[in-house]
Amino acid sequence: MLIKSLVAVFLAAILTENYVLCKFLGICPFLGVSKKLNTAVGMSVAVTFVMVLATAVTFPIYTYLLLPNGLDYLQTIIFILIIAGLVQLVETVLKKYIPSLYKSLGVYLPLITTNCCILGVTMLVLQKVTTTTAYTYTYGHALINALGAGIGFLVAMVMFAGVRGKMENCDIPKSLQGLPITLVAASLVSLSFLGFAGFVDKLIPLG
Amino acid sequence: MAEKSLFREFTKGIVKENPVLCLVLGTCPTLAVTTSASNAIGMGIAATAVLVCSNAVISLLRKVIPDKVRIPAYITIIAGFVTIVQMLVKAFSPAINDSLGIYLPLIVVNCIILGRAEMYASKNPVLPSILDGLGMGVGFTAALLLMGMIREFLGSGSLFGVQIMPIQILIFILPPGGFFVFGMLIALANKLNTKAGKTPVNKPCAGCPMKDKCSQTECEGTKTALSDNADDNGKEAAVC
Amino acid sequence: MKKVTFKDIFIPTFSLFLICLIITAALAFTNAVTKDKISENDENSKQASMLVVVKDAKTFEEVEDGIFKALDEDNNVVGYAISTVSNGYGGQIKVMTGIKDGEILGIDVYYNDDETPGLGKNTSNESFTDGFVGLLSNPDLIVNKDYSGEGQSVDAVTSATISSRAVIAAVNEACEKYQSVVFDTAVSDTFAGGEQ
Repeated sequence: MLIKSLVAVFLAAILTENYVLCKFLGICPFLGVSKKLNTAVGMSVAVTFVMVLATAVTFPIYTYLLLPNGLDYLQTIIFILIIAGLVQLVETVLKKYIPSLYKSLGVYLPLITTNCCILGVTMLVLQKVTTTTAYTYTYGHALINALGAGIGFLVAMVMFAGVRGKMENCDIPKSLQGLPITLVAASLVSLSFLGFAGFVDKLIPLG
Repeated sequence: MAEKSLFREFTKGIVKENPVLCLVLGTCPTLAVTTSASNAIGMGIAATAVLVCSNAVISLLRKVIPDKVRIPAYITIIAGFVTIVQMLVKAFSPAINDSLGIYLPLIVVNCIILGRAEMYASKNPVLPSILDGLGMGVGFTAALLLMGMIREFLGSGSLFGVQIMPIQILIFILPPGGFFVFGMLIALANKLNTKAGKTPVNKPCAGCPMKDKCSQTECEGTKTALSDNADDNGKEAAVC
Repeated sequence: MKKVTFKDIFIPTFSLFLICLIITAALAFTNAVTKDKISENDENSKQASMLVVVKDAKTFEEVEDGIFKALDEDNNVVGYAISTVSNGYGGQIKVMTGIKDGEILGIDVYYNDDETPGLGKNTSNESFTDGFVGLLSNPDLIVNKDYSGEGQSVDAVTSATISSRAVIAAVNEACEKYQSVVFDTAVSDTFAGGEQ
């Protein structure tokens, strides 16, 4: 049951609840950094990393510190400061101790702090804790959800980078060049994700 | 003369530097909450309130906040106002709170707000900053409203909840429709800009406070990037 | 390399601390002002929803968490209103179910704002919720698409099967709650009545 629910959470976060294409979180990096495949991958890996880390920290703080003391109205401000601090910390640590990793991910880290994807995932997961009825939503589920959300971001970015690569050789009407055609392409990519609706429920029925 | 320039601070955000259609900022809420016209107005007003308040406070404190911690300080101030607005909306207009959901607290990371704080309020006196915030907010609301009306009209066949058309093209209120309508609106803005002899917007994040970092990422993504002058140039990148 | 002095570290830290302190104080103040109003709003929306599902009721009395006994003017029990929550397509869906004597009086989907407008949001329309009226309060409701001859089938909202399933799951949970909590007390009430 536990394993089943973890798999369901993971798949749902990637496919049916894709944070970029279905919930419109993290659109800026999706449009801005998806021109080339390698930058798209680098950005997504950094996002995934920070997302899991941020959930790992904010989840216990909210459940054990804010909620019991009736301080849940401080959620937004505390979460954004934690994320900002974490990103800075990770950057410093990587720079000092794992320079090779810093070289590949370092550029993306400063861009992530106020990425709404991270804040959105850490906040949405707390809503799920109170609403999931089929099984209890634990810390583990929250972490898996964050990992899935990050991988979902990666999938969307990589797919989109591929689509944009194809577009380069096309003859596009003048007014549509640049951002507009990118958005139309994004529309088609997100259309394809609509097809996953209900997929996880059917695949892994719970309770 | 002074009055005239103050007035210009206000109006520039509405058309010439419209945050959504010309600067392409705050794309997430633009796409997410514009499924109906009333949602769009709710979001627009909430963001405008935060923008005006944070611009005013940041402009007041611009000489007090040390440069090193300026971005964390801005974020704290913005997050504070967002939470206050959220609590007020919950108390006095619970329906709007319900329909905006998670996107209400996410105003914190709306880069229009941090962008204006960094690019305008931190360098200008209080009154122009307030007007700048108000103008940008009105421009944001107008763009959202336009998109909300188009999507609601085509997608649900109604306007402000009043049924007008018998047919509904559902796809317009689903995520793909959001991307598509936004793309078409920007294409239109580009066309009008080109006609007026101005350069059209081609890059997202063109008015984003972090555009330097972003373009650096684009070009140096795989190289051994990043010079060591990282202490300046705003660490807290505003991607969205 | 520039030498970092105490002042370089202290002043930024202190001013950031001060800003945080002031903002938190402002938040605490706003929270104190709006808290009662917010919980009152929640209460009102629940109350309105309970009246929709148990129309004869005048007052409600909370029996257990989320289960309300509906009383008329003469304090007779005219049914139970049970609120349950489930996960829909976009987020949570909150449903109020009215049950009396093992029969569903009606349901009200009082929160579904995370669902897609025009699709999942239509689960709060009467054309969908009326389909539950008169069904037995057994937790065996199933959407017509999944129906295989067992249980009671309910017509789903067109192309919003996930949201419909979520509402049905919430109603089933309400039925379970009714059977485990209310049915027991109803039985013991009868016994108590018999002794008198």
